[in-house]
Amino acid sequence: MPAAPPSTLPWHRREDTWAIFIALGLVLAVTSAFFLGATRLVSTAALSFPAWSDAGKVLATLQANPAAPLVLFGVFLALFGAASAVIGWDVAKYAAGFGVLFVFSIAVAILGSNEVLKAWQLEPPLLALVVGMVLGNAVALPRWFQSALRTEFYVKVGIVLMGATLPFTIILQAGPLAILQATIVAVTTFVAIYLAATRLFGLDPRFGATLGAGGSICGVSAAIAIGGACRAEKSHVSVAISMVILWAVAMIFLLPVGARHLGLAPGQAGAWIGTSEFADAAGFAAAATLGDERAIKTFTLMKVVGRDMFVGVWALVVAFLSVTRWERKGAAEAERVRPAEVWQRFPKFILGFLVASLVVTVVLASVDAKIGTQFSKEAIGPLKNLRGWAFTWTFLSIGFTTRFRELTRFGWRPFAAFALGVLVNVPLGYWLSSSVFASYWDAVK
Amino acid sequence: MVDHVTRVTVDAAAPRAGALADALAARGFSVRRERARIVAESVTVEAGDAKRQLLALGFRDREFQVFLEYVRQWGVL
Repeated sequence: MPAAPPSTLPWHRREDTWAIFIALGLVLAVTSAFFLGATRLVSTAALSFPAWSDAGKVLATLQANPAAPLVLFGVFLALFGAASAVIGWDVAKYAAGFGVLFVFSIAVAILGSNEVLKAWQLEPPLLALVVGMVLGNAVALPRWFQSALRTEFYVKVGIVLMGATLPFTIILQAGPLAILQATIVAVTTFVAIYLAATRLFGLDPRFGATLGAGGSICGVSAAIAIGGACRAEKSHVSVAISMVILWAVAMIFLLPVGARHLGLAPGQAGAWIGTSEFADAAGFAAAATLGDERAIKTFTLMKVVGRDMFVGVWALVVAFLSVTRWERKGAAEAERVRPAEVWQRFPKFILGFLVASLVVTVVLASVDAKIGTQFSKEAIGPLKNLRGWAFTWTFLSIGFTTRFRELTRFGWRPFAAFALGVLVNVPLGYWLSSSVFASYWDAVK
Repeated sequence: MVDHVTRVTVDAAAPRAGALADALAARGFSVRRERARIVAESVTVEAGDAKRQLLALGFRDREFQVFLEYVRQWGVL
C-alpha cells in the first residue's frame, strides 16, 4: 500500500504533528515536574549509563534505579502507541517491534559506554548503526519488527527535544552565520552537481536539480521536495535518494574520523558535519560520535537552522525554473507557481524545535541564577537523556533499514555528478568551519 | 523508494474548468470541487505525464496548476 503524502492527511494524522506533540509534551512535563518538586519522577524515566570498565558499575546504576528501564519504556510506548493509533499504523505490531528495538537500545547504550569500546570510537551512535546494519543486511527482519523502524519519526522527536537544550539566544546569535555558511556551501554544491549532471553527463535538468538538492540542501527531504517542485520522474528521485543514503552513511564514519584526525575543536567539527553531512539523522549520528555537546549544538545550528529551514524557498525557485526555463516558456505564458509552495514544502517539525528552545529560554530568563542552574541540571539534563534515547532508536533504525543491495541500482553518471558535489562540499565546509568562521563556532558553548 | 500524489488544481470559475475536470477524470484522477477551485488527484499518474496530456488536449499552461508531492516509502532514511 503506498504511503500517504502528508498534504493528503489531516493535520492530526501527520508524523510531524506527533513528533512535535510528543517532544513538546515531554518538555512541558519535565518543566512542570521541576517546579512542582517532582524531579525524582523525571530522573527515574531519564535513564543513562555512566562510562564503565567494570560491569559492577552498570549493575549498580540499575540497582540504584531498578524501575528506570521499565518507566522509560512505558512512557515512550504510551506516547508512540498513541501516535501510532491516530496516524494509522498497526499499534500491536508497532508495540511489539518497539519492545525489541528498546531492548537493542539498552544493550547498545550499555556496551557503548564501555571504556574499551569508547577508545575504539564505538560509542552508542556508531555501535547502534553497526549493529543495525549487520543484522539488517544479514537477517530477514520480521514485518512486525520493521513496523517500529521509523527513522524519520524518531529523529524529528529528537530534534524537537534538541530545541529544549539549545537556548534561543544561541539560535538568534549564531543562526545568521549558520544561514550564511549553509547558503555559500549549498549554492556552490547545488550548482556544481547540477552543471556536472546536465553539462558533463547530459542528464535531464530536473534530474540534475534533484541530485543537486539531495547533495546540497538537506538530503533525502530535499530530493523529495525539489523533485516534487520541478516534477522530476519518480525513478530520478529514487536514484537521488540512493546517492544521498550511500554518501550519508559513509560520512557518518568519515567525518568524525576526519575531524579528530585534523584536530578540529568540537564547535568547528559540529559545524563541518552540519555543512557537509547529507541527512539529519546521519548527521546527528556523526556529531554525537564526537561525544561533545558543543559539536551537537553547532551541528544543529548548521543543519536545522542553516539548511533545513530553507528547503521551501529552494522549492519555489526550482519550481519557477522548471515551468519557465526548462519548459522553454516566458513567465507570462508559463504555468503559475504559487508562493504557498514555500510553506507546503517547509519541514513543520522545525516549528516544534524553535518553540521548545523558546520555552526553555523563557523559563531560564524568568528565574534567578541559582534556580536556573538547578533547572539546567534537573530538567534540561534529563531532557538531554531522553533526546539521547530518541537518537539511539534513530541510529538503530537507520542501521536496520539500510539495505546496501537496494542502493546499488543507479547509473555511473548520477553517481559521478553527485561525487563531484561531495568533492566540492566537504573541503568547502571544512574550510569555512575551521578557518573563515572558526571563531564563531568556537564561541558556541 | 517513494510514493507520490499528483494534484492538479483549476480555478472553478475558469471558462474551461469543467472540460479540464472531465479530462482529468478520464485519466484516472479523482476529482473534487472545493470552494473556488477544482482539485484532481492521482497516485498513479506522474506529474510530467499529466501536464503533457493536458497540453496535448489543447489546454494552456495558465489554465491549471500542477503540484507533485513525493513521500518516502518505509525505511528510507
